[in-house]
Amino acid sequence: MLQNDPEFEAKLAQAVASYADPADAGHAQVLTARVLSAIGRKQRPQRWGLRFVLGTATLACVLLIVFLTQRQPRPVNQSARAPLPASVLALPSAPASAASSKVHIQRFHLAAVRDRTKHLPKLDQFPAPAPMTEQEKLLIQFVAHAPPSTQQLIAKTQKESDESLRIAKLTIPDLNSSNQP
Amino acid sequence: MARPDEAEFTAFVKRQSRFVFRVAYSVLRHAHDAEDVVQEVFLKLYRNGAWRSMRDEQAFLARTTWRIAVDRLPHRSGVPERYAESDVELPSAAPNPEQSAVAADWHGRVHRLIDGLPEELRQPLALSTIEELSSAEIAVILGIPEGTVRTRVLRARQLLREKVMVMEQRGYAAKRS
Repeated sequence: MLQNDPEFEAKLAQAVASYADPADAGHAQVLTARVLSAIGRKQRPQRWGLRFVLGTATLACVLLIVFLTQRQPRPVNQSARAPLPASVLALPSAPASAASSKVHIQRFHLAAVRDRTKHLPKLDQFPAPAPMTEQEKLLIQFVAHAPPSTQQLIAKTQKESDESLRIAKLTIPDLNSSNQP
Repeated sequence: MARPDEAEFTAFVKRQSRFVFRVAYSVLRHAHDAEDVVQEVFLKLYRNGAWRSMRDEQAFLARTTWRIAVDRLPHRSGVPERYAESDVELPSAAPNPEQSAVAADWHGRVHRLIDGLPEELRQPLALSTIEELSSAEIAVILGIPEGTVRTRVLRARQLLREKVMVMEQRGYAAKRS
């Protein structure tokens, strides 16, 4: 009978022992490589994520610094500004909505004047005379072709600005005077 | 991962991966699934750092592996779907080429008979085939008393022996006819 056969029992024990031990799978090297590879895959996105966050934060800081630096008002060097023609000064002021473009033009003008006067010798006359820019010439041409009423207004304004200021004589009444209001 | 840790963890995986695979394979009986479990176990240990502070490596690993593997079984009790009763029927004497090829592997047939055992008997028997695990450790893994483990292993072996004998008798009869 098989039940009492030692050969059968040994064979059965051997088969049972190999139940959880497949010879063709589960090699330690393969498993190790797979586990380490999986750990590497899990780690990589975290590293990239950290780098991305740090990079973004650094970039944001740099941009903020640049933005704040640009917004700080620059000191305007009035002495370096060339005198504009009276006709230009007498032009009607731009509408309020164009305030930002006016500031931009002013900056552009200042930069142009600075560049122009940079290499000029220092003169006794103050402020130093400088040739007109293209924009100033175009402005003068525009004024020249303006309608007569505008030209008259410009001339009047120029005349008023050229006239010397007259200040009425101050009279200080005596404190004890009866004329005191 | 820092360099010393990496080397230490690699050594740990090399040392225990085969053992973990065998525990997983004994439950799942599928090499790819068992490899997935191995990966999951070591990833889990790596993430929570538990691998550094294990007192009894193999007992801890066996318990963790068994839990993960059992979670992957289609049914927690009874025979798994892919090892349903129709799959583990004893080979008939019909001269089918496929069945003849299977019949050539005696160990394979015995394994299929073990697969057909009730899960409450199969799991203690399967874990007992891993020589590193004592009956006390199997008891801890399965959460049952050690005496129950021994009883179930004996019962499983007895049932298996009966099935194998029937299989042998059928094979002998087929040869004679």
